[in-house]
Amino acid sequence: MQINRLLVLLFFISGSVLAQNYPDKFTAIEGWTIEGEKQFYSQDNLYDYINGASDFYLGYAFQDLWVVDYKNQAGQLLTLELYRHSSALQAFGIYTEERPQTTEVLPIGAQGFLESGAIFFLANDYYVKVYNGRPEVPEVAILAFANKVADSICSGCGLPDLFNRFPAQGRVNLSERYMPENFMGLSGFNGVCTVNYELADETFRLFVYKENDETCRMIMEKYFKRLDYKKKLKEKTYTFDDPYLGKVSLSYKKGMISGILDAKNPEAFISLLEKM
Amino acid sequence: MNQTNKNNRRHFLKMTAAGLAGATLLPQTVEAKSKKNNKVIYRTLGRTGVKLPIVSMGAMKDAAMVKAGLTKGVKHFDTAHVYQKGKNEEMLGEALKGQDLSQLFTVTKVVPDDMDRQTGLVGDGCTAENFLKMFDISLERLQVKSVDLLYVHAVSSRQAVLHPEVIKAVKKAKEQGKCKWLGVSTHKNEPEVIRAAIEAGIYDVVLTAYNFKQDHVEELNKAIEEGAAQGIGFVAMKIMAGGFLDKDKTKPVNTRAAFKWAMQNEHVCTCIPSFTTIDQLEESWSLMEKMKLTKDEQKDLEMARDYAGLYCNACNQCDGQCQNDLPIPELMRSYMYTYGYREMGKAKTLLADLGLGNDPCSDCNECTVTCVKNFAVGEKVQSISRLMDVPDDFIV
Repeated sequence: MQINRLLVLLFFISGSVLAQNYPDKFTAIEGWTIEGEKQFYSQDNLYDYINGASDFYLGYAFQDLWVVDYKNQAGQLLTLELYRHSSALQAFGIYTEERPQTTEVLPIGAQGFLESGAIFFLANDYYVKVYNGRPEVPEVAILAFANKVADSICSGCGLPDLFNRFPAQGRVNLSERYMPENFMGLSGFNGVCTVNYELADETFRLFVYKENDETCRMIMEKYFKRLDYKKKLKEKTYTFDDPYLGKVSLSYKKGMISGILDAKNPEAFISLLEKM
Repeated sequence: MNQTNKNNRRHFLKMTAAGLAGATLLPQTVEAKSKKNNKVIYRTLGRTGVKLPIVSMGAMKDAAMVKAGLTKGVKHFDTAHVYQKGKNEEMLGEALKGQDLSQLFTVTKVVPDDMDRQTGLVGDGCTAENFLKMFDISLERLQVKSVDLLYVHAVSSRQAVLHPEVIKAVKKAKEQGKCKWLGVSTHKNEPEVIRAAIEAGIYDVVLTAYNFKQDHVEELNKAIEEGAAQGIGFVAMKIMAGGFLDKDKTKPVNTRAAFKWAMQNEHVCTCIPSFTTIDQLEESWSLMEKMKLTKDEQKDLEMARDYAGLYCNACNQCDGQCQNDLPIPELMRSYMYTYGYREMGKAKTLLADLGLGNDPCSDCNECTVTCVKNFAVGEKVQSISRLMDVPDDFIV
């Protein structure tokens, strides 16, 4: 009886340890060995590692973080931070929050960039950061390390497909964003892709939202209610003078909402919506 | 590129001129507005003399919410150098472009270099030069030449507040006219930080975590009172206590009650909830009409406090601390089932699954488990383990 209880207890204890095991794919990075203790952070204590910035990560369905130091034969150190989010789109969201507007993107994983000697990249549901240590690792070696980490997550990782819908004309480079929740300050309008545009002396945002039709209708109706617009929802493009957001154009089609925000004259760009 | 720079420069000059004028204009103008609109409660931010609506906004992720806040009458939008690796400041700078900054209260926050997040101690690697460099970058992102208030960000120890390099940096920023007032922000050890800010004598504002759920709220209230007596203004953050009582987000905090509770403290000038919807903004704004907590709201807060006292959020930081290798988070969960939800059957099933005896601590003289929430873990384990002696027939 006592043994059984111990076994049950051991099962639970080992279960909780297993849940926090460092993924095997990151234990064998060729030419590098793990140095020192690995740190694990969950939604509950991410704050301890990145303070107030944790709110932003949690906003993109952050799951967990491993912070692990690696050492090569020359004794040089790198720190790997693996932020895992609930989906590739959510990881894309936090990655693009931190990607500078003007940077040279690198072909690491789905996409990456270099900043202050550190590498940041996206690979599936991981947002990965590699920091240089002391003594410093040369840039070539840190890039090679990052590529090995990326390859261990996915081969041929790509950016989310939804962004291919946006027209090229006037599209601002590296302005793609994923808005995880409450887009336009509207509760439940979650998971919207946006891209900035500069056309005809105007700067504005195009957005697209793909969901089941019931949810799309619910979002549209909620917005109508906010504006006190009483007409029945139809498949068409609407333009409203929103008291909070200014002029807004919204196009509803079965299972999809797209629109134009921040333009003084959104009607002039409706043709862009039709291309989406 | 040149064109952009020119535009930026022009924008800088315009904003700086407006900012300087605002040093004297803001209190009077805002007050005049408050007379026009009696639904808005304004309070003075300590010795700065600036009057702000008690509702401000923090960490907006999208310019749309800043736009909505401006339309509503929000005067203060919080941001920080580190948020979104600077994108938050950039977004705010863009969103406020063209606004009359003399009517707003602009801030940013900079974290001192080499600050240990666990201990809150600032190391030798911290230099005033680096701090000021980061602050300059923040100003550039915000597209301004100066802000009203510069905070030292996320400090949690007296040593950090009084660190010579930090003091040197913020004093210099003020001397250079890049900010009018100085402050500290704190999420941890708030009373210690507030008292250190008083001691330093140079800080005008403290941005502090403040909510009904904090275990040390009595001590925090005392520290706030001491600070207010010395002319320090207070801004509250985290007033919604995370928005939910449980990890799975099934038990929401009564946000109306949480807001009213925090703003009942007259020493707190304003708060910076992170509104993500216009409805949330509207609701908080409308609360200014009736700030008194209703009986139901008081009851909700009491229940939430009790719940928080029972709730283990399974941070697992106590892993391996128990000499008998007991699964402490699970045992704390069963304690919550019993004393929180009155679900003794569920608790006993969990205990049985864990194979817990009726006296698992009998061979220990002292409990070796230290809980980050200061739970008396040993006492709770002993208390809950007694449930194993209760016959099933007696458990409803």
